[in-house]
Amino acid sequence: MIAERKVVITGLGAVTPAGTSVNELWHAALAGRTCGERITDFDTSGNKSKIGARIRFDQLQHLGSISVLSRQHDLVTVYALESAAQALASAGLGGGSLREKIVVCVGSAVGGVTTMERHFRRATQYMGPSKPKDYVELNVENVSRGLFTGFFAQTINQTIVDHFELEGFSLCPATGCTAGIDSIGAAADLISIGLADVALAGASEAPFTPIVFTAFDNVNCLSTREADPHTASCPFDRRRDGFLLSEGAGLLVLEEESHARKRGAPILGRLLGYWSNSNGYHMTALSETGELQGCCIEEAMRRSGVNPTDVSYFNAHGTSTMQNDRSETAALKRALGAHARTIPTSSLKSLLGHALGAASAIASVVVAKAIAESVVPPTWNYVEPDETCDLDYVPHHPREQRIRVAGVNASGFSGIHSTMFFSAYEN
Amino acid sequence: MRCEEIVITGMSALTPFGRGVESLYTATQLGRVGIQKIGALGRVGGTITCGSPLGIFSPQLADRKVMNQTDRSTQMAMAVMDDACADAGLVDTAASHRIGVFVGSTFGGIEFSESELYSQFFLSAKKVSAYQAIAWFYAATQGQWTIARKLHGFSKSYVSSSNGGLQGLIMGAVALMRGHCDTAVICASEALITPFYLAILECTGMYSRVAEPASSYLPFSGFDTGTVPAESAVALVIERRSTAVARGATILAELTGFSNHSSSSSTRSYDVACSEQAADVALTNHTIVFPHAGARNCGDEQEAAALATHFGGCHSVAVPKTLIGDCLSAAGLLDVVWAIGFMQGRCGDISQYVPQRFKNELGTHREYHRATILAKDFYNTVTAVSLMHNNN
Repeated sequence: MIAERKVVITGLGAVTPAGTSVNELWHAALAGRTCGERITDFDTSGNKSKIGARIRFDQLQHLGSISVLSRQHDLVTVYALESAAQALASAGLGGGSLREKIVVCVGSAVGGVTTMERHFRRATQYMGPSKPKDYVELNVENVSRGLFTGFFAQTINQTIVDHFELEGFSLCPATGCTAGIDSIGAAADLISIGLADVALAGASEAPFTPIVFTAFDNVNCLSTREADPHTASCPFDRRRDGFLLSEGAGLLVLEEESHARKRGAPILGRLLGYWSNSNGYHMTALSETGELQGCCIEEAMRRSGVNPTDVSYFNAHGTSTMQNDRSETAALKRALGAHARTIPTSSLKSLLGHALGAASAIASVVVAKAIAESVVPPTWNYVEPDETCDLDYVPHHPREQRIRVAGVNASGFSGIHSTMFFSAYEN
Repeated sequence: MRCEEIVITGMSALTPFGRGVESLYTATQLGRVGIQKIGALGRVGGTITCGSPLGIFSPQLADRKVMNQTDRSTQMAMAVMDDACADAGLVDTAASHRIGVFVGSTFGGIEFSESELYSQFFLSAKKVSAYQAIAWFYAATQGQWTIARKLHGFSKSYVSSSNGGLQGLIMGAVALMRGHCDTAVICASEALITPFYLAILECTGMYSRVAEPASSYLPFSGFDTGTVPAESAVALVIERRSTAVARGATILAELTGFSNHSSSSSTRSYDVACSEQAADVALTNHTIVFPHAGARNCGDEQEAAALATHFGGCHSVAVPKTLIGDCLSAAGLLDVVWAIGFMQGRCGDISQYVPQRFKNELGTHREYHRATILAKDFYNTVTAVSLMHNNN
């Protein structure tokens, strides 16, 4: 086994519907500026759900020089680029100052699907009344090189490498809704084995396209509470009926501890460890007992050197679906025992909705901020308790408290669970 | 980066020559070419006319429901992962927490999505399959196979093009080095001879427009042909040497080093990747290099220059992928299977796969103990792994 090299957090960046900077996001999380609106940029008449949490175009226009790139790249890359710029700047690594090898590890669940669908529609023409596959003509002359570059998820990483003139190990984890933790974890692993001293890691997602929206809608996991989209995402509440599809990116700068200290970097916290497992059970369903997710949390604690009593905050996956919130509650109780009921546990998705792979990366950014500010962000829209969800979900009001160790959870289709632990930085 | 005692104990391939490495090795010995004319496939204005389709493939999945839920690329992957486990002697993998799965992919299950996109845009959203949510996305293969085998270990999926499988191999090795698993099943699978997938590839300008299969893919020739799309799935089983020895597994090769370097320049990435994968191990004249061989003049020259700098005078360069072309994320892993075959003497005379410009460097030896495999994505990320034959 290799000698452990400790990993610390030195930079944060985020682009979300609740704010296009870490500070905007943080203040929205504390003030309860929840997101959600009726989808207007494509036809949802054939869908049961009509709502989502979008990053508005006027928000994009405030992204400085990066906004120019929104005309050249898929939104999934634009969000990642802006988050990378913020994270590098906050780590004191902006302006091309990073001249050493860096791990760039930004994941995504679905990549540049906006570009893919736009080209598909441009290239195809319906030629008959039925059996679509037999009556559709695909005219290749109507697609451009932008189809490949926009759709290909690795473009996110290569664009970051090119834009910031970086070089080093580049990887695009694509494990669906756990991609955020998995990317941050992979980057930490690569630092730990000595492959680099610095990493830019997280995930980005821009899934608002007809086919992605329909895919989730047709398996009944999107909220249909269109009367008030801002309250549609209500994790752990008895009224919850599905998640609110969302988008955005969250990136962290990770560094080997002595490297960060040597250059006098602002150290925001430690990445203690993580774990990920497969439930080997079902592509979409979760067990009510939360057994395998509980195992994931336990193993993440073990690898992080953490006991249940050390944990002072948990940022739950908390999607606002019936099965996830029930199963995750069971998993937390299984892993943390009686202490689970005393740990403040909140869901950022009550504010933002579910940004798929980016969700746990954005949650990691918020957890790092929570540790630094000693404030637990609340769960919004929590009105009617559910007897199967019986933890302390920190409803409505931020809670000021010292956070020594905090966990982040994620689960995804394919039966993947991932958990990561962070702590305050103490010499 | 140097690897720590990571060995390959199982392998399998599903290629246009059939299922299993023997069919691939036999075709390699005989110089049988899998590239053929593929027709328009419903496209108008398509420029790719040659490719290497898989042909008839019966996945024989135990659960028939999985057939309806999965893209062909997932079905292919599940078959080769089963075969690789059998080859490694991992017959009973049920309920294991210590087996990880690492899957590389370029665009996931595009073929499944094509039908659903037609339904979405030309019929109704209500006609889109409920399985679209789990069939296309990149982690579908990882999920379906871990569920089929009831695996509970640390598993991940990665997106890249020709180096996706090698990235899975590297991250599987990292997982072993970090103690995340005891055994890692590595897989990449591409079912890409479909109308929309071909359209995506065509717009890169990297694919051959030559209509004649025999001359459609000529790497390092100066003809600037580009490559041709090939369907394949490949799986490897890797583990720590101590684990393999303890369970009496047959060791096929050792993974001795790796690199995965991205920069703004292909030349720079080739240079760093070639240097890092060597991991301070001295070169011998018994090394075969399997280059990326994109068959575009500019890229070939960059790669040849890196080979001359880092392997000059003590290597052989072989491109057996001229038999089928580029199977994207599976390409690097297929070169690993070929490397093992040539090191074991199971693939026949290597000289028929040495491009003319490297013939003078071939030397007289016919035994190879080491191999380096290079793969490059559509940008400037170059991935390299080095292997050592277990007898060495």
